[in-house]
Amino acid sequence: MMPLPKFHLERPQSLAAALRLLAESPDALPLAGGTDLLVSMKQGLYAPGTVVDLKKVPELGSLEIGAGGAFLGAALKLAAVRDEPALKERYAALSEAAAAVASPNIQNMGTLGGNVCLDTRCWYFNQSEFWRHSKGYCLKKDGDICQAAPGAKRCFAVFSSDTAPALIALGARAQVASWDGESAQLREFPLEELYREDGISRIALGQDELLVGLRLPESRGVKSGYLKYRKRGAIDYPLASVAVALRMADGVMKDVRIVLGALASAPVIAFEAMELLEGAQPSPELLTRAAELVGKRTCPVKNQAGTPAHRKSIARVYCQRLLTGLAK
Amino acid sequence: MIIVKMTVNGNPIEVGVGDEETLLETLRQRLGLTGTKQGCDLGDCGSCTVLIDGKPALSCLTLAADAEGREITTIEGLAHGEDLHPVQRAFHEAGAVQCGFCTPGMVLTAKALLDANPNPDRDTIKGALAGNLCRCTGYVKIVDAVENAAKVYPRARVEEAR
Amino acid sequence: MNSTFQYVGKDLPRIDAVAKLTGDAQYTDDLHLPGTLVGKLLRSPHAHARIRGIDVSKAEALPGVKGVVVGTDAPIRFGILPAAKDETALAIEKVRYVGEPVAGVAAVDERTALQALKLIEVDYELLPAIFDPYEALTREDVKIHEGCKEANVERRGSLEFGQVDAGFADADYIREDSFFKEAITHAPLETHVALANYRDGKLTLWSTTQVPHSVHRSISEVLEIPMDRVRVIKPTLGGGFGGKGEPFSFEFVACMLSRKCGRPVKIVHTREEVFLSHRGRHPMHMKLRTGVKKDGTITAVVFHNLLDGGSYGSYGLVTLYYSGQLLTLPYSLPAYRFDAARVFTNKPACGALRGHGAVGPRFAFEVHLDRIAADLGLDPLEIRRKNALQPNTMTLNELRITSCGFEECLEKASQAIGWEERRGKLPRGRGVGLAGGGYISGAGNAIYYNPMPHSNVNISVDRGGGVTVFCGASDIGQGSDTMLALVAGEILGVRPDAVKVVSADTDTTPVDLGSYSSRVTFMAGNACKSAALDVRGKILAIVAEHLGVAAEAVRITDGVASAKGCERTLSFAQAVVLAESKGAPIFGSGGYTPPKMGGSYRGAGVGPSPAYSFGAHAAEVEVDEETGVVKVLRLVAAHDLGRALNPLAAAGQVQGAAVNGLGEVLLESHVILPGGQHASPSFLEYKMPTMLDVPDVEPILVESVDPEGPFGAKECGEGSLHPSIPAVINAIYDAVGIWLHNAPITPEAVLEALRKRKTP
Ligand SMILES: Cc1cc2nc3c(=O)[nH]c(=O)nc-3n(C[C@H](O)[C@H](O)[C@H](O)COP(=O)(O)OP(=O)(O)OC[C@H]3O[C@@H](n4cnc5c(N)ncnc54)[C@H](O)[C@@H]3O)c2cc1C
Ligand code: FES
Ligand code: FES
Repeated sequence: MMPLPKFHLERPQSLAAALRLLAESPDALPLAGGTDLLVSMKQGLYAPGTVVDLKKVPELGSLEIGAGGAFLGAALKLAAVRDEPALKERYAALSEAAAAVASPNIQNMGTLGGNVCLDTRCWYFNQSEFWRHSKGYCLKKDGDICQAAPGAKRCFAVFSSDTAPALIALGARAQVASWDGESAQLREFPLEELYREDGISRIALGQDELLVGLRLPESRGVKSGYLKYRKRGAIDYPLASVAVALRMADGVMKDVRIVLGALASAPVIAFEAMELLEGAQPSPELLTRAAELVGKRTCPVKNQAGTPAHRKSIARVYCQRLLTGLAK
Repeated sequence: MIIVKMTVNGNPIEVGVGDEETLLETLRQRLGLTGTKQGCDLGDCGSCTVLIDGKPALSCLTLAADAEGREITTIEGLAHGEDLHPVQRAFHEAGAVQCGFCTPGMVLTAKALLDANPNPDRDTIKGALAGNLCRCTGYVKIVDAVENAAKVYPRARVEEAR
Repeated sequence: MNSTFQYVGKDLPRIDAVAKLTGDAQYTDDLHLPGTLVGKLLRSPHAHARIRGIDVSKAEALPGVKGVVVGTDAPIRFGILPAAKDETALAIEKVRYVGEPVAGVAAVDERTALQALKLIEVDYELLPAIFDPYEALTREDVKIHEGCKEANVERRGSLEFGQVDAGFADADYIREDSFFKEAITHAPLETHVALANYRDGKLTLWSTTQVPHSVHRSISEVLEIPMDRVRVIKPTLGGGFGGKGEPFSFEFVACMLSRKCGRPVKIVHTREEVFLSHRGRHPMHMKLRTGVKKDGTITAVVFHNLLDGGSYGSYGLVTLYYSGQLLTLPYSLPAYRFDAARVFTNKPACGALRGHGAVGPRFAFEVHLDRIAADLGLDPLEIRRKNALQPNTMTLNELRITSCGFEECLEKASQAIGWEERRGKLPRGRGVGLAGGGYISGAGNAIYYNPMPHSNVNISVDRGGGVTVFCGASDIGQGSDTMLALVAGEILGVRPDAVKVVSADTDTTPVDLGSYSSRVTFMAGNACKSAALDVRGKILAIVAEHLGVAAEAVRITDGVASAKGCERTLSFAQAVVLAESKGAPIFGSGGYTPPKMGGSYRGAGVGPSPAYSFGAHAAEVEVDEETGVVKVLRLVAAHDLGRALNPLAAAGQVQGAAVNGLGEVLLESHVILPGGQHASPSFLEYKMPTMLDVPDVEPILVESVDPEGPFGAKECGEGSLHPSIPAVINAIYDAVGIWLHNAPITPEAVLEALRKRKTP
């Protein structure tokens, strides 16, 4: 058995109560489905004094899909996101991404919010205390060097969420609540702004802040898709992934969005490729050129299975395949 | 200590659990329901799968406190007395059990699948069970068993309801 | 032929399946004794270090800690092979790999035990560590084991048969290739668990072991308790594959702690600890040189193998010789030379794993053979047929071949995959490949010399007519209990699913050497058959007397005894009651000892088996030339198992073994990082195939009916692994024209090979 470290469990019944608990206990961590955090806690990576379980917070559970777009609460289970027919139809990339997370049974437990706020991952970090002690601690936990890229000043742990690249490609905005001492304050911003290219402080959320949900714009004929590369057909995190969304209007591509996952400490938006394609007519040569630009956007280090060069080349191939399928 | 009220295999149960206790610990150690297996304790293998309100979930990554008010089904709760559940029977007859360590998780996941979709094709079965590892069987007979169970499923369920 | 059997040859669901399906089956971790303490092992974080001192005082002082033990508490050495007793229960002077146990703690609960481990202070002096087997061959300055005469070579082995140089001189074509087969690990779903209870001078150990008999002996030796005061029981086992095939540190430590604390102690390994303990496949660095005539007839073979043994001996010497000896299956070689070395490195010890010894060499040889065929423009099927071993022959290294269905396996596998229509004819990116193999049905010689039979069975019949088979053999998930029930049922004429089996308990069951080397069906099966015949003889005599007919006229069918021409019948139970009333309760026993076999040269003891299984697999693959990802679309696994006693179980064994092989070729590698840590010590990072990664393996059971096997049966759960690896690699060549010499393959290696092919 790998027992969880001791902690005090809080189960707030409202968003305000949850935020207050977090604000008042600096060593508290929010827990959603627990499929990421509990694993890390068993491995001794986190030992929060208080765990704030969000399952009973009603404000996080909403699901609204309407003409003007959709709002998906952070506490929605990945299985619900995966199975919702309206999402499948309008935001295919998201439902494909949710279906690609881990395995179906984990999709019954893991939440969309947990997936969006997923911790970054690295071979040298996601290990037991025994292993890390034996190998030497790393920047992200207890150490002062990066084991993956010795000499590096920063942590290169990878952001491996499946849904985040899809959501960003679809133009999602994050709704975040913070505690002003008395009540919950809500704000919204483009989801990409939640992330930082830093394996350690991966998301721009304060101790007293929570992700409430994700707002998707009206789909307006946008077609989207998500492809994930991993060693096995299930269980595995992505080693590289690509989400693409675009709209075809009068034979040209519009609102093109290409986002890469699992190749850096944050999702990577492939601006050059997007610019190249925006307003252009799709042709095999053009799509190939775009895919090549995508490959240039990242330089992963060796901290996952597979070689960095191969993971990059997969991003290129998958991007081309998605574009070819969608730009019709 | 947190007092948790839940239903386990149809029986209402009240049990005191630690804040940091997993449902797997509670089932195996406090309730003696050792049919639920622990293969990794990290969410990687599926052997600890139980049904929570009918849906498969990994008990090694579920806090016991979260079982409050839920209906938990473990492998011990599937058969009606001597009568095996159709999925159990199909596993038996198809030779889908070897060492049996993955079996409880496989059977429960398969039951949940058939409850939701009594006529899955082979690929759907594989997709649904893909998070459950088995080292012995090479999987073929497990998928066969689920297919066979599906053939009798609606009828068997009617019988069960009676 | 099958019609002469009542039960043999018909599908029989396992006799323990219902218990496993309902949660009733008791695995070791499911057992609980009142007052059981939790045991934990402190493991070395260093790959190679001298232990200058261990201070356990702080741990002992922690409330809740009931006892701490260290290496000096049990300094007697053990090891599965008598020639390699190089381990102690806990490390004493040195640690030799990351994860080696150095101390054991028993405490009232898991968290306390874990906390206690942190309080144990071990003073280590770091030593240079070796991770590369080539380095191990030459580093005289670093000795992992002091006893090694040459650097870190545990043993060199060489064999030579026939006129090798003349064979090459005679060849029209000679080819040389190098191959590398990476380690894999067993990964049974159940982790290792031991529950020990020392009471009143007697010790009972419940353990997840494939070899209760060896554990029994070793516990007695190391803990210095007479064997009659030690009882080893193997409860239901959640998979072994060789990974539970020898005595382990945790078993001794659980016993030591229980003796020290006077309470039961249970040690449950975490998944990571199972990886740390390993004992898996040896990484093999191999070179092959083969001479052939123009028509593909083999004239001579030379095989070099460097085995990376890790830190201890384990089964390694056997692995070394198997790797050479079994290369002479399933083709007839006129001349053969083998040179090999097993070296120590600072990694977890390698040992036996499903297909033991022959997996790497088989992969290498089958790919090598396909390359020769390609060079000469021969059909890979043809070159295999041409050289196929024949029944009732002797290989040049004196392996006695009796039944042999290899050619039939080749025919059936190639037919099923559509060889003629598809090989070389599929669209680019798709291909089919073929490979063969052969394996032992149990080792002809026991691991340690002893005069007793390799397997023994007692059968008792109770008043109700119930039959109980007692056998030391371990059902590790492969279904040996069901096999015993079937054999006993067939001979006695009672339904197998009504036969009870008590197995793997050293107090109540007669000795069987254990579940390894694919020996159980053949050996325990034969022992059971002879015990059942003993019982049957006794019953028939009574029935005959009662019915007033000759004993030879009596038949027992489905538990009813009758005789031709006699109206009266007698139930099995009635016959037993009758016998007992005459003062002779019915009881029978039987044993199996393999015939004397094998040559007299050094190394001849490893390889001889009373029978050999054979097989041929055919694979169809699809290669994505942009990503390098290979998908196996079909795998046909034809396996000559002598006779399918229980086709349902046999097919399951073949499918499981073949999928293990697919994992080995496509995904799995057990790699140790510089520093000695595992690259993938979890089910997340160690890539055991999921349902989505492998096709539905299509088994074909070929029955060559072995003259000495029980009802003609031979092994089927190990040999059916070997050919899958090279079949896939040979199919990749057919698909895209590249050869891969390292297994597992990776998408990176596929792309690299494709690039090289384009720009030579
Ligand atoms: C075997 C295995 C395989 C996996 N494979 C994948 C995979 O392929 N792809 C993938 O993307 N993930 C994978 N995961 C990780 C995980 O299951 C999913 O990412 C899941 O969606 C996480 O959701 P959760 O609700 O369980 O998160 P939790 O574990 O509860 O939380 C994750 C993190 O988010 C924080 N958090 C949660 N909710 C909020 C909120 N509302 N506001 C602020 N912070 C919050 C938590 O504090 C924590 O740091 C895998 C996990 C396992 C065990
Ligand atoms: S024990 Fe829970 S997933 Fe393996
Ligand atoms: S039957 Fe052994 S792991 Fe599935």
